[in-house]
Amino acid sequence: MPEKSHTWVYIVIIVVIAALMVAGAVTFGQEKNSPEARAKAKDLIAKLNAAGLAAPSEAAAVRLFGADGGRAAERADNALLHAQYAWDRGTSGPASRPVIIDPDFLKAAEIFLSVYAPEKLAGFRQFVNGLDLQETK
Amino acid sequence: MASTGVTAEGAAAKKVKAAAMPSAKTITWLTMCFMTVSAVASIRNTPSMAVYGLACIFLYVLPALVFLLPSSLVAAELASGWDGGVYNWVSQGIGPRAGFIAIWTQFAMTLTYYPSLLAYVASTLAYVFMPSLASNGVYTAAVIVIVYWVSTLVSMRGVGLVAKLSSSSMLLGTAIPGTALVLLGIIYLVQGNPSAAPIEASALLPRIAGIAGLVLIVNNFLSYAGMEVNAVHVKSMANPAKEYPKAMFLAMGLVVVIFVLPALAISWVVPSSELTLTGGVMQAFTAFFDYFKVSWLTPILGIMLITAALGGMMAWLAGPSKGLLLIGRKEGYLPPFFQKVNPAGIQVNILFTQGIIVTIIALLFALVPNVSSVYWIFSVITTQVYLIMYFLMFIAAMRLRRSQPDHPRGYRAPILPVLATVGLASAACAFAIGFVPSSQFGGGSTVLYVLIIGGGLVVLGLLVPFLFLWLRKPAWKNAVPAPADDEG
Repeated sequence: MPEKSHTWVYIVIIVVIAALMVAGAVTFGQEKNSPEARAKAKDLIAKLNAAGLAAPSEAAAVRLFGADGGRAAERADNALLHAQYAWDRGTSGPASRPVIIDPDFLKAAEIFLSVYAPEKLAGFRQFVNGLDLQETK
Repeated sequence: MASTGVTAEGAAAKKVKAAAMPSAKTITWLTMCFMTVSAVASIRNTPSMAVYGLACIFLYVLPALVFLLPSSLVAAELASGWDGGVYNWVSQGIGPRAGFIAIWTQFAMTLTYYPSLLAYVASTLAYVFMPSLASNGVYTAAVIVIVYWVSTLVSMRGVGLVAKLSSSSMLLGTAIPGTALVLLGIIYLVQGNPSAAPIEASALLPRIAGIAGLVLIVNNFLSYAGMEVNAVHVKSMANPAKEYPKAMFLAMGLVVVIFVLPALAISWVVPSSELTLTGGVMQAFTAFFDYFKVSWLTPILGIMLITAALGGMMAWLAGPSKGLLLIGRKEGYLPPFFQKVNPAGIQVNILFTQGIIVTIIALLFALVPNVSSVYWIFSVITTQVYLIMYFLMFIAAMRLRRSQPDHPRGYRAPILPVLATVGLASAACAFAIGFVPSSQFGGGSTVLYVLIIGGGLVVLGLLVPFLFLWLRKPAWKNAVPAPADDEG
């Protein structure tokens, strides 16, 4: 038996995708630029450079992290986001597995938190101390 | 359709063709190709590989040679000669019980894949609309459950719909944004900007150190897992003997290109230190678009990536569960309850049961912090279980060359014994590396880790299917008749 026409399914899916794209584009562009965001961006760049790590530009840091550090700060003490940590560092796909994390990844993250969310630094260090880290490059 | 013992090529071809006649030929070779790409590849983790700069070519091409190429060519040969996908290939080559274990292991892997994939969908959606939601367990659980069930209900409407949706989502959510990333990367270089990652011969090889580097490379083999998953639908193709191999050849090329080129483009534009800092995939894309002053593209890309993830998930929903139904019905390995299909020929009760299991796993994952913390262990176990399927598939391919040398095949893989041996060795490496603890296991005992993974592997990969085999009853064989148009 040939399958039924699914026109309405396609229409609903197209409308939902288009609506989400429009709504996302409209709500996404929140302005993160503020004196505090710029000051923190400068602080981050200085500390990364002092540690011998490459730093983003001030504009990029302001845009990405604003004044509160965004998701990178939020995940510092959140079990659900920690759960996704090693996957974010590996490849995607149905059979993806977590990798062994390089310490450089976390060195920069600690500096980042010391600027944007110092109150979460202790919790993050506890998380990091529970990880087995090895250099991959 | 089984063709054991058939040696006359023409007669067998007629038989296969006749058996396939009632099916609606809803899947073209291009749709099959895009479905396969959709099931395997995406650009959602390209920033994490962009960190390695030019060396990401090596990190993807080596696994492609030793795992993608053997698994794809072997699957192409098998699907061009036998329908039904993995369960039938292994049934023909080794035996029906092994066939059941093969399809079970493929099916079992998906049980942990869906919650982690949908957690990514929830996280991306949150990033677009309200980033603070990403850490909210109730929100994550709600998104996983709602999206999963909507996808399941849609997939119950027929394989033709699933094929169109998953292939379209690959174009919208992977091909288009991937091409855009590459074009922007080229524009960046053409404008005279220096590449953020060194472009020189010495950067081609990753600086691998110790077991961590080995884990990184071998885990990349698994980036290409799933190329065989849509072979279960070959009866929905007009001429699978010729069309399926063609679909696989193109899919192989596309998958490598999709993994490598966007990662390279991002590495040219965004310094690796910045990628490391950003804290997530979408943030890395935001950094990329910021360089071109087109940050407004970020939410649009986010929705595209979600579309691709859901399309890929639908391909997985429709594949292994179908294979499980086909062998469960043919050999009587599944109780009649699981053999029930709807008028569209879809295995509704298997999908409902799978949905209930996935819902429970997802709720635990999202709502119970202790489960979130150990969820990766479940994922490692199911990946180990999935690798059993590859062992069986490669062995079956070699045995079929000997036991049924004259069985008509639309495509014969060159040097198949070598290909299958390389594939087996790669799967064995990936299997062995699965017993190496990842970072989250911390300073825990390696012996304990091996016991946990090995125990889970035995229970989920062997004990559960053996229970089905042990409990089966003769009356279960074809207990629920297949509909006339059933693609299997």
